Amino acid sequence: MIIKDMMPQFDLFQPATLKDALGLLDSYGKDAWKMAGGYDSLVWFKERIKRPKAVIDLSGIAELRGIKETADGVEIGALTSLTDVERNPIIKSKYRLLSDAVAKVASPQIRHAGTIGGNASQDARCLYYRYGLPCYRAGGNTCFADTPEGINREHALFESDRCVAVSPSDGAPALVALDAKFVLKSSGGERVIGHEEFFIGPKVDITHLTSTKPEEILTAIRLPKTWANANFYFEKVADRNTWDFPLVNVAAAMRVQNGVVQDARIACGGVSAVPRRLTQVEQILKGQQVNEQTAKVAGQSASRGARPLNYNGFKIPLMENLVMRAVRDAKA
Amino acid sequence: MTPGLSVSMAEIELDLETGKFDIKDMICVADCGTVLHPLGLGHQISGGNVMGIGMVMERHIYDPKLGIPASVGFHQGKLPTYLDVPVEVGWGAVEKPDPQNPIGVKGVGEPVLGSGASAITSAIADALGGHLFNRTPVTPDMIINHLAGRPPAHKPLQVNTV
Repeated sequence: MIIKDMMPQFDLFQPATLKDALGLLDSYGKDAWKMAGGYDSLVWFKERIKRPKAVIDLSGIAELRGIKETADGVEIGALTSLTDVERNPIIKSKYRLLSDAVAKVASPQIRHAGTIGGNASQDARCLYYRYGLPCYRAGGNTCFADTPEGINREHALFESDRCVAVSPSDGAPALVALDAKFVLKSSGGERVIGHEEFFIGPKVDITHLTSTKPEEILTAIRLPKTWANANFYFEKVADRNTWDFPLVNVAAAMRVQNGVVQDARIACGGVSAVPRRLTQVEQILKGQQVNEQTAKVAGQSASRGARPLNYNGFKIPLMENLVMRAVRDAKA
Repeated sequence: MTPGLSVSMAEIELDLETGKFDIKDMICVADCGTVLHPLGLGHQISGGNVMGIGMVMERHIYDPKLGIPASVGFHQGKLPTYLDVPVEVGWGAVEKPDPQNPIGVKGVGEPVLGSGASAITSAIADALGGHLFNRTPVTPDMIINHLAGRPPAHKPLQVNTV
């Protein structure tokens, strides 16, 4: 009987500066594993499925924490805990959407230790992938969920090119709706990318949900002030009222003047491998009055192009209802 | 020792757009003969009813082709959390001593579990205008599929159903 209690051996490094951490990543390359809060990493290690040679614990690096206001908006250190992001006065007053979203992540204990960077970079929760089976996402060449009898209740409706796992994050749709930029540093330099480049689907790389390279570290997430103090709405529907990953969640930021929508950004999580930005719905909403009729039309157009699997068809009416609520109930 | 009986009543608020329910009020009265320890009985009743709520939410699922379990941890087994149960479960006892027993007691640990589960499923059925799922668990996706007119994703039960 395979005993699944002990983590396999690895070298643990706890660098105190970003420069040391990047140096370690350069020396270990693909054998290194970056760990922030540890809530995704430790589960993989304890199940003895992922076995890196070196684990680099980033939690000692003070320069990766903290939230500060800049000329263009706000910069959030990637290692800032979710509780700190939720309670920070700048985020709560100007970017309430992110505060509402991270308040719904898992449970209070996990929010105290989990980080915003880790929440955005977390790995898929497909039960076959997490069980350790050799599926596409694990480097193999088959999918166990997209089969006539597979348990695919929590899997994707859109853009599932061979792999049907979903993005399980609650913070990610809020970051997409706020047009966040992601700062990735390596010892060779720095690059700042938008969410379309950061969150990737199976067509780009079927083994990863984010485009962070092995030698890079996500150091900060920047929120531009374009969407500060807009009308926001966040709702998460999950099996239980706490702890669970979302079945579907919606994050919306809208600029409304005299009851007419000027501009909108709506993102839905739990329906595809990346937080799905509903560009069609945003186009429909521009210039429309905010009322029940518009909300219903917006909701129904949100699910266009969905390909349901045998158990996840319920996500189509659920997504439509959540988008309808977002348009109807968003407030400043 | 003869088994006891119990009746649970629950009032829920079902959100028709998301399929989630919120338990507003729950009460359970047990016919367990002589009450030996009132506070212990209260704990038994409220604990059993919480387990009954869990029966409506839990998932015991396996993949039929590979035979691997789909609910291997607390995060997949969907046990009720603190935010899923009512703040208080009201309780009471009929207190008629059981004639077949020198002390007049009856067991009460098991009946409250079944009555709790059926109170919640009946409340959901009432909120849906009488539609019975005739099975546990009753999860948000089943409720959403029914309200949207979609066919149910699960296959019908083969045995033990009317």
